[in-house]
Amino acid sequence: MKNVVITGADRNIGLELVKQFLQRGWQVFAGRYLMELPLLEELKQEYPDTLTLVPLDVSKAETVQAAADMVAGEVDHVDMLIHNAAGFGDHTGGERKAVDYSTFSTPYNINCLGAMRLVHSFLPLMQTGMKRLCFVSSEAGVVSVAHRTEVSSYCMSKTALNMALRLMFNQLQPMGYTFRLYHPGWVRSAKVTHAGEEAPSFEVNGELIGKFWPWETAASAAPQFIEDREWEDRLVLIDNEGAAWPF
Amino acid sequence: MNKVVMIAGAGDAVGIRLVKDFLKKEYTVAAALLEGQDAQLPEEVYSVVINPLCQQSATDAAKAVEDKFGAVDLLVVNMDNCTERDEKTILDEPDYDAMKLAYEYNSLGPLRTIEAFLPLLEKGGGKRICAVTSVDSSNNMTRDMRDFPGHVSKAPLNMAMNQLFNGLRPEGYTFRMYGKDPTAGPDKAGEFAVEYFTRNRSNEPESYKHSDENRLVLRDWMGIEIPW
Repeated sequence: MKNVVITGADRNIGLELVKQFLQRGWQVFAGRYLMELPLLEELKQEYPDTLTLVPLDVSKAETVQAAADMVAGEVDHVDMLIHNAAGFGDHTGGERKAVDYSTFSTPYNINCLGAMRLVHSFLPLMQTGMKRLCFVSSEAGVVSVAHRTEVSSYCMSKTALNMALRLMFNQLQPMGYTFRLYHPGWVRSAKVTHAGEEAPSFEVNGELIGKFWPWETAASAAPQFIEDREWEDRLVLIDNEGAAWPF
Repeated sequence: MNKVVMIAGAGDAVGIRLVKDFLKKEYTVAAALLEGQDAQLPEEVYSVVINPLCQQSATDAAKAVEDKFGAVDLLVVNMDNCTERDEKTILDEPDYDAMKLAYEYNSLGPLRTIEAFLPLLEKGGGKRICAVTSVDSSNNMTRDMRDFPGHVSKAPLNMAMNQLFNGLRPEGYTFRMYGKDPTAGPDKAGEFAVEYFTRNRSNEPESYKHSDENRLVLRDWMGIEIPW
């Protein structure tokens, strides 16, 4: 049985990725950050043998290492890592002349440094198996087609992630590791729902924001992450519809 | 009356070259040494100090320059705390604190400075924003596997500058992105920069079909376009 570690698995794309891999018979280690959310616990009842919940805050190196140690106690190797956890930070929201740059470090710490912490801590468990490293990035980090007109901490953090992945790819690809860099499309995100509350709402002020449901993009991502390519020697950002993006 | 250039980051090899070349072009030069830099600036340069990590510091510097000159035509941001390569790879324990500091200094420092000086640029006639970055910031071209702080701190500035460009170009601002080439050596580091920063690129015979003014371009010391 193959196994996968997924960060940011509490809800939305991460939760749907967990389901995709469970349905395919994988052993899934689901990183929990929002401990108050009940959705992973409910899924665990359905998949008691193949779903393991792992406390995992990618913004802190020690919790990532603790998660790696916990997984190492359960399996002798990890086939696939999926870094899905994301921090969104503040956009300037039209207030270009009053940007609060003190808030910009949070998405950088989660989206970029979090990916590095994850890879660094789990690499010793990935000497065998598929050796596949998957990252949910975004077109928001693509500099050459940057279209937003306000400085965005989220976009900057995804650009930083893409660069960190470039450096990792340059080293690890010749060692047999394969990479997936995924743009999930414009996904509708559920707000945080706490235990005992009704199903999460995807509406913002009564409107659906986004183009794709999380389960749709997860269904597109899973085969991209699992299937081998004949061109593993290139780092390419591919979206949920199969289109390749520039950097 | 001479045009006024503000050079934020005048104390390193590139900054010193920038000051010298702008004076040669008869600009009135205001320059900020970054906290910790101890370069001797020429007498005719109006100098202030900026801490790239602190918004208030940039705001105070802008106020001082405004009191002195009233407006700025051309702003150059030149901030880079990664003067030595970090040879660690992902297999080593990455220095996350160094990476956070580099991001604050190299990406957010220039943005804080631009933020503070925008009102002065608005008053000036030049409305040009120039950034010194590095060819190492290119996601497309980087062949390195080391120096995470250097690479990862500079790529996000490219994104932010593109977003500033998108917002400010329609208001008449023009932009220049200059990529230092770490292999070119300190003497070459600032070469071509001022020529590039001051040139009108909207009507060049060889590039009129692809005017640099209506797209943001990163060029190195030889004028070669570096992909993002």
